[in-house]
Amino acid sequence: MAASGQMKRSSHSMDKSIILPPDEIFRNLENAKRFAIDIGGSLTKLAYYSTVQHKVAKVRSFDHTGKEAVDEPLYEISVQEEVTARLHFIKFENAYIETCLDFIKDHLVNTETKVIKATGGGAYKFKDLIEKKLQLKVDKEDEMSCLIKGCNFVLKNIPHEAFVYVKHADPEFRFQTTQPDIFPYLLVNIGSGVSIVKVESEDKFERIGGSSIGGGTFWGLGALLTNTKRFDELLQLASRGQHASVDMLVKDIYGGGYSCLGLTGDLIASSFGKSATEDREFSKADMAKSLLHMISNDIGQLACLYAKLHNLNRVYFGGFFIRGHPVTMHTITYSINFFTKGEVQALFLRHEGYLGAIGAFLKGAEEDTDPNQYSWGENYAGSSGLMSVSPELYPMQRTRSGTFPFDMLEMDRLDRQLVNLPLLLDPSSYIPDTVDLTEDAMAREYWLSCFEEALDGVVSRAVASQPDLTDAKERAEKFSQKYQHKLKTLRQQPFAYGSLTVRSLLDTREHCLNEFNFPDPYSKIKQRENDWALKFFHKVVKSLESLNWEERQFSLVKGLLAGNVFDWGAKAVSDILVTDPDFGFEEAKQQLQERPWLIDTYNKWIERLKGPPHKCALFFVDNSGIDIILGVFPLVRELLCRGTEVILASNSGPALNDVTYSELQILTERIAAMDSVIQSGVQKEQLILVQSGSSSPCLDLSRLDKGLATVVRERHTDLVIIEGMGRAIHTNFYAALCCESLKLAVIKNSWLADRFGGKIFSVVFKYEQPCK
Amino acid sequence: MEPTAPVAWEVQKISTIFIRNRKAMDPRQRNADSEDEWIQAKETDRVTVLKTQDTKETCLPTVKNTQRKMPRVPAHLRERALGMQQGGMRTADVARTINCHVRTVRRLRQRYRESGRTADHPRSGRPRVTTPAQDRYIRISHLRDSFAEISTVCNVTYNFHIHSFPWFGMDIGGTLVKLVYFEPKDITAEEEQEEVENLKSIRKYLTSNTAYGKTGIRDVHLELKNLTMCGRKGNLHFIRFPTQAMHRFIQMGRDKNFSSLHTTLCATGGGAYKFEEDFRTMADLQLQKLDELDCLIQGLLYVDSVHFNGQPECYFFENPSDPQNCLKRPCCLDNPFPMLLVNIGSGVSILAVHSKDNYKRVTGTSLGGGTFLGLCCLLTGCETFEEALEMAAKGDSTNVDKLVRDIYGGDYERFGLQGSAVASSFGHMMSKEKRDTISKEDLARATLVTITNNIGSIARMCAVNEKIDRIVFVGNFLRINMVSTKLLAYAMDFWSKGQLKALFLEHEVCQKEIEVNAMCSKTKAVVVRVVTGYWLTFIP
Repeated sequence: MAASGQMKRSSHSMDKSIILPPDEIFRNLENAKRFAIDIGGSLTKLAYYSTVQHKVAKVRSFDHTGKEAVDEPLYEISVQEEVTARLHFIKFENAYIETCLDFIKDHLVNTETKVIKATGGGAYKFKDLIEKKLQLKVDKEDEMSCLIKGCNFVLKNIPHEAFVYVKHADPEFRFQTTQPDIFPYLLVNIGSGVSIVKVESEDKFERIGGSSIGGGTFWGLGALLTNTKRFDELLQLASRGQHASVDMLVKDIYGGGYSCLGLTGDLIASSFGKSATEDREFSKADMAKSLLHMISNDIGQLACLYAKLHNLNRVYFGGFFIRGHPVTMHTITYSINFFTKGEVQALFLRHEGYLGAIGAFLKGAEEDTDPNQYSWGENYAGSSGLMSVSPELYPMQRTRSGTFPFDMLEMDRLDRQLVNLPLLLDPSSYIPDTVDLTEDAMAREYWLSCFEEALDGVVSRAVASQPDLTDAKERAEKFSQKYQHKLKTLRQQPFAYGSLTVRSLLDTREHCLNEFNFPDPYSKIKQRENDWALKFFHKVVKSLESLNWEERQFSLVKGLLAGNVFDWGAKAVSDILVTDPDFGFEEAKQQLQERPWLIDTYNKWIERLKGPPHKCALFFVDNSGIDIILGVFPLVRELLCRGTEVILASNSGPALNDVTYSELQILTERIAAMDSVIQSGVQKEQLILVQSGSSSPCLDLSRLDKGLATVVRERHTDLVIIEGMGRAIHTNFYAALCCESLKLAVIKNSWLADRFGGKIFSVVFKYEQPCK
Repeated sequence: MEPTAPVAWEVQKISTIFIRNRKAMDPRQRNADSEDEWIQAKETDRVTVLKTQDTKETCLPTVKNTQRKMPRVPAHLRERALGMQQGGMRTADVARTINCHVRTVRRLRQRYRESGRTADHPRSGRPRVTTPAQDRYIRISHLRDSFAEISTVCNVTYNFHIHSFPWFGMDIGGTLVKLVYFEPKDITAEEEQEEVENLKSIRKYLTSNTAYGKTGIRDVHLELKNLTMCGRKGNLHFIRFPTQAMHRFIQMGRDKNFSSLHTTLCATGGGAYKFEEDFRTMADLQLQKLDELDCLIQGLLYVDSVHFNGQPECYFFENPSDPQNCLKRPCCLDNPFPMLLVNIGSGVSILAVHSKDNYKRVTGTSLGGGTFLGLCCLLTGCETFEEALEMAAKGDSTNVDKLVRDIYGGDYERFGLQGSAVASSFGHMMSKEKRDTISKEDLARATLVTITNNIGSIARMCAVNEKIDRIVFVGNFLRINMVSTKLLAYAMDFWSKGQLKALFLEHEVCQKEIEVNAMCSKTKAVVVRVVTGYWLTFIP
């Protein structure tokens, strides 16, 4: 659609007609409802709610009665359409607002929408335009309360939302793990002026102070001094300047530091002090830099004073003065560090620019259903990451490239509300991921290449999973492009989606697969493997029973580990499985490292087993097939025999060949039919199946299904078993729990094994007891 | 009035030390009183060493001796020790790290808690009376005749006594140098005769002019007449010139052969440190450096205690938010502590003063007088502070600043912000049209409002944080600056919602009403010190 909107702003030279790529921007407009718009000084942020139809793989048990036929598969797989809710946030420059409104008008099918929530300084300026174009009533919302609502929302729902900026580090962003309790905090919004708001709870906040020296002062005064018109240009100018030639430093007065007051010589004693005393021309860049320092320092100082007064140590900065500008983030950070001597950290938000729009949207949404009752997750596939940090690249690159510059954030509504695992020792310091790839450049390089290499395999698997759909190939190609693009972005900007980890790389892949309607590429494989493994269940149990106690315990552990070898996520294994279809349980056992293992606390575990049985064990399971049926279930059986209750936690949604909750239900039913111990366990509710709430091959113990948490608490769980590379090594390797924990995995990646100082198929057996 | 006694004592001390130095094998055992003696001692040491031709043996015990004694903890380590303590390190570990006794660390912490500083408590003892030149002279005369009577040496050296005019005090700030000169009016004929030629010429030059060179100005209206100081009657003159001209001043000192007058210049302010070397090398003048903040507080208390014309020195504004009914009211500062002292010079220092000696610098900001003048110079092309202020007095800042009502159309009720409050300083200047039509006066005014508002806001926060409800504003920025004082009073009122009042100092001399005089208060402190220094030479 070509927009014929007249561009009135002549300062921006751009194409009059821009073709909007509809599958990239303003997606899912057909079902869109509840619009909100935040029009700032230069950027417009649009938010809407939409429903997305997704194909979801469902498994359904055949209606078996009596004896089952041998050839028939265990369960049937069907792909169904499921509707999920998604929030869309789009940010673009004000100059495009007319084009965008036209586009929305043309694509908006849903006519229920009558009102659009608006906030921001420009809301009244564009009010008539919006009302005319969209025929929606503009409902103005208070800017500050929207901002805070938005801030609460992102802090709660996006892990790694807040970050610290460190200029000379690589990378410059240090993401903070979200605290379970986000309140209270101080929000310093630096728009034209500065507002300092103390937020105590969801609805309780107070503007405790402010200053008139803010972004407007920088812009206004900067324009007067340097004759530079645009904010971005001013910032670029500032990043080149030397403030010492304009500012009077302590050393200019004292000749050196003023040590008895602890003032170093390089401190600014008087901003612009030299321009009063020295009779010469000052360079524009130097003046801009001095101005930037003056304003940042002043804001930093005020923020510190307020933080101190109200005893707060979390201070978030936002507003157009900050908005991802590394220069201002640096000067603010510097000033905060200086004034608080490092006690308070300046925190910035990744989605800072969207806060107003999110808040305005939530205000509208609250009128019928409160979105806060759900958990939301960032959709990596649909969101643009944090923009480039280099000031030279940031504003210019986008205008030069000629395409419509926009930035997006999409958030999926999760089916379940996510909470902390109650057994975490210290929820506020829990970090799921073992290695932060943003900081570990070598590991980052390896994993990015690793995922790139594995991409072809994933694509072919995806195509193969939908043999009867003709467009599968095309979609798979699109998926490949998208994921490749994401990897490329991440290679350049590892911080784009918060801390880069193996987990986030895996999650991004899942999101992208879902995006192109490949809900569960491994469903067929899982089905086949489950079928196959079930046949051996009886035999395995028999052979285990024939062993004495000590041998049986070892055999059980070994079986579990051997089962864990069957992981389609690991390239080394999938290669074997493809080339050697006869590779089975016994072969896997032989591949395993002999004791002593790489990490070997088996003796401690055995000693513990000789003691009293556990009350209840929480078992996070990994792969389907041999892993779950021949590895996990025998151990579960043993635990049940000991009188330990078992909670089996499996993924809610598919990820690789990990067993899902619905699959596990059928499998348990099947096994119960074969085995009396399991059967009585199920009947007496000693064996419970729960879903973890995640669809990731990894495990974040701070975002688990609320139901799981309830069961764990009710049953007084005193043992947590975490199985698999994704759950026990990539994540949670260092997780400290307040009960006993057992983490087992086989390292199926030679690079990772190398890092741990072992070889491929090395075994990690980590049994830990909490310190008393 | 018999000056001989202390001088004799001083002379005796110097010669004894010298004798001891010559005899001692290792002068380092003795805690050297001053840098100068230390060097002297070292020199003597070297001579002795050379004579004995046995370097090794003399050196070794030296090393041992120094090791036996715990070394003093240098200033930077004290700061670090304190930092480590605050960072959660154990006292014993800190002591080990900086190689001192645990008790030292404990005492350091105690001292910091009490005084907020890590420097030593002020040592007892008199200030030095003799200049290094005189010390040198005493030594030489002792060498010439080691059996000479002390009184004889004293008489020979008797050049540095009370009469050694000129009396100067200087405050070398970032922008301005403030100089006070005491002109004795009770000069006897005898003295007149004795007065050295160039001293006379200095006196004549300073008192007969009101402007010096291109930039020096004597503030005639500030002159204090018929002041009695150390038994001498005279006038106190206040002269200022830009710090940039400092080198010319030093050059003048050299040309006029200041050093021959055997005078020590008392100086405070940052420049006392910066230019010390220049004074010494270029003009052979020693600066007696005095701590700036000490001076400031003493000066403030001094000025307040004098009560000019029976009027309290302090005042505040009633109804600062209402320009029509804004009235100046005197205020008594009988019990001044605790107070928050906001010193606005080129930059701003904020001090919490709990007593004369117990104060700490709470914070400061770089947005001060220098920023006002600097920005005004850049924005309006003006050259002097007076010009800038004059323009500011005429301007209207609302043409430059974006007010709350410019954004919200009126009051922002959700947060209780009045429409007339400034939302964004220089906010209107973001638009080109407004930039093109703005007047210089408005810009100057906006700069002033921005700076004063900011200082008011920070001062108020500090007052609340420090739990002090009295805020006194002083500083050169407030000189001849009724506009600023009113604006500051308004800012204080605005930020504290009427809870806190801004207090200012008045300095009325010669029937003229003059606002503010931190310059006076500061420089006077120097004078007080100068006087104290001499006073001590009179009374044993």
